[in-house]
Amino acid sequence: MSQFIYKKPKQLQEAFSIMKENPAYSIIAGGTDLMVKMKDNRITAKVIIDVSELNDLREIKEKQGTIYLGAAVTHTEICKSELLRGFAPALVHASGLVGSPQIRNRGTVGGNIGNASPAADTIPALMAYGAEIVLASAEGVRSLALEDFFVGPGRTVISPGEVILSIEFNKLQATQAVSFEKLGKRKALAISVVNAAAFLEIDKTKAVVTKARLALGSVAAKPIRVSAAEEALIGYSLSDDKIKEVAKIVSDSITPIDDVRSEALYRKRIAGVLTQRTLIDAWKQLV
Amino acid sequence: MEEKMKIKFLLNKKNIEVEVLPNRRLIDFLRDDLDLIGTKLGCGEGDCGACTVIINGKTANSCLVLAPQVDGKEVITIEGLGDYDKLDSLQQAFIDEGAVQCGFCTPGMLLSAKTLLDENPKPSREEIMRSMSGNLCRCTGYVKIANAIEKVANANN
Ligand SMILES: Cc1cc2nc3c(=O)[nH]c(=O)nc-3n(C[C@H](O)[C@H](O)[C@H](O)COP(=O)(O)OP(=O)(O)OC[C@H]3O[C@@H](n4cnc5c(N)ncnc54)[C@H](O)[C@@H]3O)c2cc1C
Ligand code: FES
Ligand code: FES
Repeated sequence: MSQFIYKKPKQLQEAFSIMKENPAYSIIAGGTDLMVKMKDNRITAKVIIDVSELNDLREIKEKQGTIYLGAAVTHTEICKSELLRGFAPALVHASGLVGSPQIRNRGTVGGNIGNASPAADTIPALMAYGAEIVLASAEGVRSLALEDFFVGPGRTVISPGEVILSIEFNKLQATQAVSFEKLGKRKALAISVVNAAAFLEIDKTKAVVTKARLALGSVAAKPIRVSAAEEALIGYSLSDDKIKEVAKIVSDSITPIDDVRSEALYRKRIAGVLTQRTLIDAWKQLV
Repeated sequence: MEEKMKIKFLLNKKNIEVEVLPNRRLIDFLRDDLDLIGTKLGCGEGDCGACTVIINGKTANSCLVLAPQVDGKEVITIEGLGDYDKLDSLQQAFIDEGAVQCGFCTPGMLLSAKTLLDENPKPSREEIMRSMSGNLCRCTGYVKIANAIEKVANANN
């Protein structure tokens, strides 16, 4: 492993100063992605900044219908949170499918996002909730739609001196539901071959979709939304034909690759299947 | 650059104050610096669970933790579970049920089982199987390990 200095700031401001003084830094939270890269000497940082105990990054709270999820909250904590179990069950489901108990005990949602793997499990779930990501630096905070945060595998729009502070999204209304599904090679400790999440809002009297979000992972260079498929749902009830039509749009519009875990052709088919499953599940929660 | 840093933590119920290199993995620190070789190094990437330890009541892969990250924490390794004169009931059950073959996965398995029973003294079979999902065993096929954990759980009232 390369040589570095380790710092664990107690305050966010202290973290910003360390970043300013040491431009060659890497942030560590749970370390479940970073440590694997360090072992392979893929990290050249001279200073490792541990954000796992910054209070500002550790909160899960709700204010006026918005849920604030601190970046350093672990998957285990997400799974145990009453608030999230009640108002973001599909996120709880996604976090519960990450790695193993050991990985979930240390791995954080901010790390899952910051690592920017196209296969990360919480990202499509959070995108389906319409989440925004909040970035903080010495200069202040800025927020952007989660889907706009990613550039490509391992690459994001985060600037030097910024940390991921939190993820924010609205509590679901009675007319809204989200569903998440993942396909891995086995049940535990499996990175997703494909994962998918669907958000539906319906007009209860007419039983038609009024709003939809479809997010998928491991089907492109970054987690994506498929807007053509979302639009095809608006104004319709979820008939078998509609589900098949939307699944086909998803399969046709994604650009997966062949890699160690799977092949592009298989991913296209599975993306369609997972789209169907998440749509049916979200619909069932509503009607 | 190669400067050691001082860390203080609770290791197997004893206060420890030591100097450690910042880039030392917890697994290497335990095995090579502190001579606690019960914790095993398998994959080094979080997949096998042979390196499992308990940090503040939760299992962790010590191959994915930097030693300085345990500063101020409580760490339990397999050496803290029981010893030859006084085995933990889980250790005894693993022996009685034949849940140990080569033994490489055993320390990690025991610590995962320990945190399971601490949090949930009466787990279902399904919960027992799930609790082992971060620990690979190449020998036993898991059934005897689950039987051993179930035996201890059944003795809990
Ligand atoms: C065996 C194994 C199995 C896994 N299985 C899964 C799985 O099934 N699904 C899945 O999605 N992932 C999986 N992962 C990947 C990993 O566990 C998750 O991505 C986890 O959420 C990462 O969180 P972390 O806190 O450990 O990240 P770290 O390793 O600490 O950080 C990851 C990256 O994010 C950056 N970062 C972290 N926090 C911040 C912050 N607050 N601000 C800015 N940057 C930040 C770091 O600089 C680094 O680049 C697995 C990993 C392993 C080793
Ligand atoms: S050695 Fe740590 S998980 Fe395999
Ligand atoms: S007993 Fe050999 S790996 Fe489990």
